[in-house]
Formats: sequence, structure tokens, C-alpha cells
Amino acid sequence: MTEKRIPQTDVDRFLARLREQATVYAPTKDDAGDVVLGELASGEPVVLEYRNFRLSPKAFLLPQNLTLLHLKDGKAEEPGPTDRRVILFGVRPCDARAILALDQVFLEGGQHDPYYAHLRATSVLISLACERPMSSCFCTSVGGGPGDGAGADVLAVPLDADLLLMPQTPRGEALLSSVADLLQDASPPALKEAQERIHAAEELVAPVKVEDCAPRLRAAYDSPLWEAAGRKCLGCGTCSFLCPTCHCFDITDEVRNGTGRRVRTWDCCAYPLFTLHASGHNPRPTAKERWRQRIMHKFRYAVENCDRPFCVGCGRCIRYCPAGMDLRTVLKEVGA
Amino acid sequence: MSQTQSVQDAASPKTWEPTVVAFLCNWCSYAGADLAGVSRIQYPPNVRIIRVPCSGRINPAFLLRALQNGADAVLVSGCHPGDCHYISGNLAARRKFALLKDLLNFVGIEPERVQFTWVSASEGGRFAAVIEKVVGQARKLGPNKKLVKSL
Amino acid sequence: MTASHDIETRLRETAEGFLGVKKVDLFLGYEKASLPFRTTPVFVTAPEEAGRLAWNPFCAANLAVYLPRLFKAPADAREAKAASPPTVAVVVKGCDARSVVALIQEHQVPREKLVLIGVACPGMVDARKAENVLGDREALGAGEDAGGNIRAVVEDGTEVTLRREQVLADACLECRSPTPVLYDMLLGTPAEPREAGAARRRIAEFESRPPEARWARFRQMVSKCIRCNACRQACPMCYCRDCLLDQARPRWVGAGTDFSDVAIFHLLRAFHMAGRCTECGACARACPMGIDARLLARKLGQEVEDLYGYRPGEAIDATPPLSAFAMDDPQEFLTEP
Repeated sequence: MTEKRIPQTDVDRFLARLREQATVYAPTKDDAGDVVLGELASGEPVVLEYRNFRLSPKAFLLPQNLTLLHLKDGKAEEPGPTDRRVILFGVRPCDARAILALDQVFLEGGQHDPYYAHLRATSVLISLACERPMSSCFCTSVGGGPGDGAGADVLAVPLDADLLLMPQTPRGEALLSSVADLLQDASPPALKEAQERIHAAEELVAPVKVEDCAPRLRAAYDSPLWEAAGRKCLGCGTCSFLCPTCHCFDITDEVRNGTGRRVRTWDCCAYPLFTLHASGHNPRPTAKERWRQRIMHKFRYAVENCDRPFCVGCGRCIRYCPAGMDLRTVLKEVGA
Repeated sequence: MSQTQSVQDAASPKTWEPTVVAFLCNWCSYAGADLAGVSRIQYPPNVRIIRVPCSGRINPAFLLRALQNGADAVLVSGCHPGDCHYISGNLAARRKFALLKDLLNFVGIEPERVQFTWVSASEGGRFAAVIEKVVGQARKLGPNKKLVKSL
Repeated sequence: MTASHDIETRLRETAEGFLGVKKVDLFLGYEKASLPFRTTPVFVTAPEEAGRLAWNPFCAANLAVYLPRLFKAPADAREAKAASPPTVAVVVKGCDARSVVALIQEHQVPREKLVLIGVACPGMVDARKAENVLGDREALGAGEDAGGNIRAVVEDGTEVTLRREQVLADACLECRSPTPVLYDMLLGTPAEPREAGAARRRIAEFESRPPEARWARFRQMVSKCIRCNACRQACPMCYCRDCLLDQARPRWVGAGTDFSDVAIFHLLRAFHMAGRCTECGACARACPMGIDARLLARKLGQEVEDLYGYRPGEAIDATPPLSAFAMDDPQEFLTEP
């Protein structure tokens, strides 16, 4: 695959051309002044200076609110295929990598979720390498990095004046070919500059001890640390809803006199009701069990079953937790 | 909603008719509505009556759900203060209703969408007059668009 | 800084003492968090851990939210045989103490099992406001300087001073109860409430707009909601085991982000806060989307004050307003034919 480059001053033009083939979502400022992955309007300038978005891009593949079935006069109908075409520009490498975890859940191992598959097949991802990781980032400890291209179709790396565009998949290659007239080939010095910048960013990411997390967690199942750490949890749902790999959902019917729909919405294992049985029994009755489950799922069960932790080190759960919980502290304590 | 359908069908296809859901307490307001009927006092057929034991039974969730389901206005009617069959149900409800109305008005929902009144068992005429007023106001406001959830 | 430091020292001494003589089983306070501008709750059970307790401008959380679950009635016989409810010492600021009073009024926590360590509060920093002021620079550490302002150290090592007023939480800027009304011991110097009318002015400004503008503003405000329930979970007054808004049979509110469901979630939750909300701001702090979840509850709180002369969380023997009534309660809202 041939690496390309484009001057950063031409990025708006590049995105405008992409808008001709699909709906483009790119970093823009919302009315509160936050940088979000929003629909790029005609002529709207893209923002390239940001750390990461509050909401992860999983909402594009796993919407908060998705209609699975329409119900009319008691008969069920699946929603038809759409002509959706979406390009996501500016997704950070951690969030792109998270999509591979979602792929494992929804598309592999005998699963084929048609809703997820449709949205996945109609989305092209251009990720943007990080230059300034935050103190809450730890992508390098969970298999990723600020310049990691996994999960993306194209990895864009900011250079001094240019943006390097590195296709990661045939779809990414095809996307770049469609706007080939705007792009130049990337020279070896440009590639070297990209490597150096990525390496410099990697050095800024504080490491977290994740090695052997699965066996360490297995041994620590009955440790008192779960009560001590977990009892602070409010069960607020923020961590799961913002997490790019969390994917648990609930299915409810909204029906009025035989007409309505079946919807899939986000759910959270930290909610007290999450494992409440119809009998009234709850196998995870307190915050301790739920906090333990959360860590176990991400760093033990996922590692044992999917060969990857279900965490990409984006740090959102640490930044936004109103109780100041930090799973890095737990990982450090386990097996210490 | 099938009864609403018949109200709608009776009107010409191009005329929209408001749907008003009325929660009436069994002992006073429902009896008052009954008296209106027995006395052959005409009032608009747009109202769908739900009988509750007492106005104190009303949970604000009922009213919001009715609006969500497509009601264009909601009316709650109970016994006059001092006359509640359960002594103080309507007095407890009065505070809830005052606050609910303030809240909905605060966020910009038209005050005529959610209304409260006292109608006693002997006030058949008054009941009819209340319905006339509420339906008339709902007709002037037009269909409830703000809180309705279309399925 | 000296004032905070003194309070911190006193808190540690008190915790060590109380836990040492087993006057309490648990000392609930704040400790340093892993990110600046924040603290995290700490449940201290051993006297030698008392040194973890901290007191600084980042102690924003309302610890009263953890109390109901400590005193929940046993779910079954096996639980009933377990240890009796603990005696809990909890650090409470003005708003937090009002929450504790409200919880006592509603029989969710027993007064005799609580030791309230009141601290007169100068107002707490909102982490997001502080981060917004720093803009592109990330803070790696933050503390309080001698003048009560916040000194942050950013990535390149430089120090930035943030004026306290600039980064105080919105709830704190409108605070009318900085000094706890109920306490077993009181630390810090009681202060006068800030501008008593700040919240009223904000509500009045919102109400001065025409209805359509109010609706547009409300719509814009709640449209960001992702239905995570953080506002509800962070609220000390939302302790219902089975929340109306989660109920499936019947389902009052859909689970998704349909605007109608989002609007009704917020309207109903605010309604359930009428006469109970103590303006601590935990809801707005918890909201990951930055919605000011306080607005509706504040409006209702004001109505309850004006109509029924009641402010929540002031007296443990007061009757909550919606459990009470008067023959002459105002009824101008009624429809007359």
C-alpha cells in the first residue's frame, strides 16, 4: 500500500471532496466549545488540535438507540437496508483499535449481528495519530499506541506541515485513490519523520502494569481490594457509556396498541439492576461485585476468550468518573 | 386508542379533533360526569375518561405518559378541598399538581395542556362546562407536538 | 491554604481517634485522586489509614450518597443475621449535611448511627471548569495557594494560577448553606452564604423568555442526554431500589434517546426532587455530557419555598412538603369554567 501525503492547509479541501461520496464526520467545535466528532457541514473548517472526544465513535456502529424491529398491527418487520455511507475522520488510534474488539463480539465466533455488520460495512475510518497524550492515557500498555493503525482504514499522522496518510486496509487504499489528485506520494524522509513523532508521543504515555493481568486477576478474585475500591462506585454508567469497547445492551419493546418498535439501547454492568433476576435474586448485589466484574471482563475474561484486553487505554473512565475511580490503581494492586 | 379513532373518523378527514384524557376521582368528579350524562347535558365527545379512586392517586407520570401517547390535553378533576372521600387525598394532590403545572410551564409546555379542577358529584353542569373549556383550548392550541412520542 | 491544611490535620486526628477507640466502624471522607482537580471518596476502617484523608478545594463530592446503602434493610434472613449496621462518621459540607438531614427525615439513615464531621465550606472547584480554563494545556498537579486560589502545574512544568471564583462549581457560586446545619463537630470558620439571590436570578432570567424560547432552550439542554443515569445515581436523594424511570411493567419512560423519553426522564426526576433537592450539584458534576441537571430541580425548590415556605434539609423533624398539606394551600393554578 502506498503512503500518501497532503499539506495540512489542504485538509479542508480533502474533506470537502470526501463529502461528495459520503457523510463525513470530523472534529468540529460544538456550541459549548468542545471538540466533537460531528457531521461536517459544507465549508466548515476541521479542528486538528484536540486530545480526544468525550463520546467514543462506537456510537456510529453501536448506536445508543437502535430500532431492531418495527411492529405494525401486531406484525414485525425488520428495518430495510439503508444507503448509508459514512466516513469518520479524526478518530484516535485507541478508539480505532477498540472497534476490533467490537468486531470480535458482534461479527466473529459464530456471531453475526446484522445491524452492527451493516453499520460497520458502511463506515470508513480515518484515524489521526496523537501527538500529545494525556496523563490518563495508557494505550501503549494494552497493545496500542499513539501511532497505531489497527482498526482504521487509513492512519493519518500529522507532520510538521503535512498530513501523512497511510492506508491500512484495501478500503482505505480505495478511499485514497478516489481523491488521488489531491495527494502526493510520501517520501522516505516523511515516513521517517512520522516514525520519530510517533515514537516521541509513545514516550509520553505512562506505562501501566498489564502483563499477566489474566492470571493475576484470577488469583485475586477473593481479594479484599474489590470491596475497598468498589464501594465508591455510584453505578452511574458513565464509564460504560463513554468506553469505546463496552458493548452491553438492553432490548425493550415500545408498543402502543400493536404498533411500535423493538429497540436496543446501551446498558451498563455497573447498574444495580443489570443482573437482577426475575426471582429477585441478584448475583452481583453490591458495588463490590459489579466493580470486580467490570475489571474481570476487561482484563481477564476478554484476554482468556478473545486474546485481547477489552480496554484500549483511552482514559475516559478515569477522566469522567464522578467518584474518581481509576482502574489503573486496581491493576497495580492486583498481584502486587 | 380505538375510540379516539372513531372520533377522528367521524370528523371529516381534513379536520383534526383534539383528544383530551380526563382522570376523574370516583366519588366526586366521576359522579359529576355521570350526572351530566343522566341530565342529558351535552359536552364535547373528545374526552376519554379514566376513573381513579381519588385525585391523590394521580402520579405525575400518568399525565406525562398520556401526553407522550398523544393526548392533546390532560385534565385531572377531584373533590373540592374538605370534601374528599378519603379526607385529605385531594389536599395532598393539590401540592403535587401546583408543582407539576409550574414545572411544565417553566420548560415551555403550554399551560392549557395539563389542567386541574374540582368538580363535585352534584355539579353535572360544571363538569360539562369544564370539558367545553378544556377541549376548546386544546382545539385552539393544535395537536400536542412537544412531548408526543411517535412510534 | 493554612485553613485547609489545618482542617485536614484535624480530620486525620479525629479519624485516628474515633477508629482507635471504635467510636465508629467507618470514617467516610475524601482522599487524593489520580488526576488533578479531583478527590475520591475514601472509606477508612483502620486508624493507621487515617493519614489518607485529605481536605482541599477539590472535595466536591456529596458523600451522603453512600449512606443509604450502608443502612439498607436486610434483603433476606441470611443478610439479617449478618453484622448490625455500622456506626459511620462522614465528612459533610453545608450541602452534604442538608442531604443527610433530608435522608434522616425520610428514614433512610438512622441519626444515632451517624457521627457528622461538619466542615464549613468555602466552595469547591469544578474540575471541568478548571480544565477548560487551562484550554489546551493539561494539568499534571494542582493545589491551593495561600490566597485560596488554585495553582496548577501543566505539562511543560509551568505553574498557572486559577482564580478561585473562575473555577468554583456553579452550585457553589449559588450556595446558600455553606455551613452545615447538623453536625457532631464543626471544623472551619462558618462563612456567610454567597449571593443569596444568585439562583433566583438565574431562574428569573430563564422565565423571562417567552414559552417557545424556553422550550427551545430546554430542548437544546436535554438533547445531549445519553440516558446514562449518572445524574440520578450521583444524587443522594435518589435511593429508590426500583426507580420509576427504570420500571418495565408498566414502562413509563422508554430507555433510549428519543427526545420525548429524555424530556420526561428529566421532568419526572426533577419532580421527584421537589422539596428534597439540597442543591449540592452532584448531578451536574456527574453528567458526562455537561448538562446542567440542577436547573429544573432548582425551579421546583424555589416554588416549594415560595408556596409552602419549606427548604429541604434544615430540620430533621420537619415534615417533607409533599407529605403535608394545608387547607389554604394556594390553588390559582386551577381551571375554572
